[in-house]
Amino acid sequence: MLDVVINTLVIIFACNGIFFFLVGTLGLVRLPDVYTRLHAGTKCDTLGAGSILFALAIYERFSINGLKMIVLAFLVMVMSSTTGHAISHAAYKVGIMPWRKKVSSAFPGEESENVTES
Amino acid sequence: MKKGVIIFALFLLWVLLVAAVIALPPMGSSETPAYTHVVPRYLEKEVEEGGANNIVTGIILNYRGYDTMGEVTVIFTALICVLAVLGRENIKRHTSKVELSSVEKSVIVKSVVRLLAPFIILFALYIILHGAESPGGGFQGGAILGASVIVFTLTFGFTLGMKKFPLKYRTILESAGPLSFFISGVVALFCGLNFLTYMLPCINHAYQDLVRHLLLLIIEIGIGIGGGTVIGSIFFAMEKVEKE
Amino acid sequence: MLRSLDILLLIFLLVTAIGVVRTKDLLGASIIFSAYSLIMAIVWQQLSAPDLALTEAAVGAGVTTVLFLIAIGRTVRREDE
Repeated sequence: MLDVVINTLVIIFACNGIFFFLVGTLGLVRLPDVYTRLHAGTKCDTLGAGSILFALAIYERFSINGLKMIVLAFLVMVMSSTTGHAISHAAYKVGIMPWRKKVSSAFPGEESENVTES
Repeated sequence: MKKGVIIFALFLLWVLLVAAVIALPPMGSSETPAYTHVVPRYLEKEVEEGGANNIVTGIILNYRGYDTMGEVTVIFTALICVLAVLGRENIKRHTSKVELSSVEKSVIVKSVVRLLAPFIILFALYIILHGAESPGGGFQGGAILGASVIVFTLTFGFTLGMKKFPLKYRTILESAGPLSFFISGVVALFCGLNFLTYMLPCINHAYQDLVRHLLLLIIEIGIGIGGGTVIGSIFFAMEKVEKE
Repeated sequence: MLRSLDILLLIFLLVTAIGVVRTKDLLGASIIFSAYSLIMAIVWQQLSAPDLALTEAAVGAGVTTVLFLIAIGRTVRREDE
């Protein structure tokens, strides 16, 4: 019984991690600019790698190896979000403007306004 | 004409290399001397002869001690070459606000680095000191030490980095790698043994094992601190700012 | 199972190695090289050489990338045609 519960939890967390990795990678390829790509890319590490490592920790039944996995997950989360913040901060200070949706030519007035803003 | 000569020379080289490859024993064959003599000897006798439970450490410090001494000297020489080309950094030129990046680091990055830097250094020391028992050793720990210096300097700026890792001490510590090898190797000469022998029969039998571990530890610490300082010094030397 | 992981890693290794050589942007090339080192570290681990894996991860992915980036910062970013 306990085995079934543990295996179910492991599968749920691992699938969660794989899903976030997939979505993050898709976002990295598809999204338009630095900030949105960072938003997608950091999800890979924090949620994806975090929940996969948590799944491994459950799989090890929180033995000493499992606790190491938890520490690793914590480190990965801290470092990934810090690097994401550092990159976006540097990009903002250097002067990269956030992406704006270009309005189609049906409304020429709004389009020109957007262009001057960005 | 020129092209033909080049092609002919390359063809000759190719023939030579293929002949050399054919003369080699077959790849991965268990008949070669390396597999029939060297590997079993290392695997069976290393713990007893080398004195380290991690066989890799035993091999690089004991059986291949001269090679490792050469490697450490090569790292030291690399630093000397970098310094010959670039020159030492000059702290006086850094009084102006010339930094690596024009962007001031945010509070979050600084806090995280301040929080994690002690753990990075602790991990490096663990790898250096535990190299005889688990994977790791002087080179790996030294690289992590150097990386911690780089992380600190990149985050907190050059002036503070140079203040924390002063040139005065780095000049001495850079030579720690080759120096520790020579110190540990010379000890055997007093017993009338070969250079770089760690098992010394001339002292009391009870202390032999302890002395051997101590000598290996001296070398590991020397390689680690020397390697880390060399990486840090190369980093600082590359950061030198030209006079404007 | 693990063999397929090895094959996948080796394919990634080849792709990154070709990418380093083919990229004209030196900044991008050094970042790809750091990814190459990371994959190489996992390959060393798969070949049961954890000592080398540690060295590769610390030196290849960490230190040399920073040194390359500083060198690029002091010179030019794009490779000449």
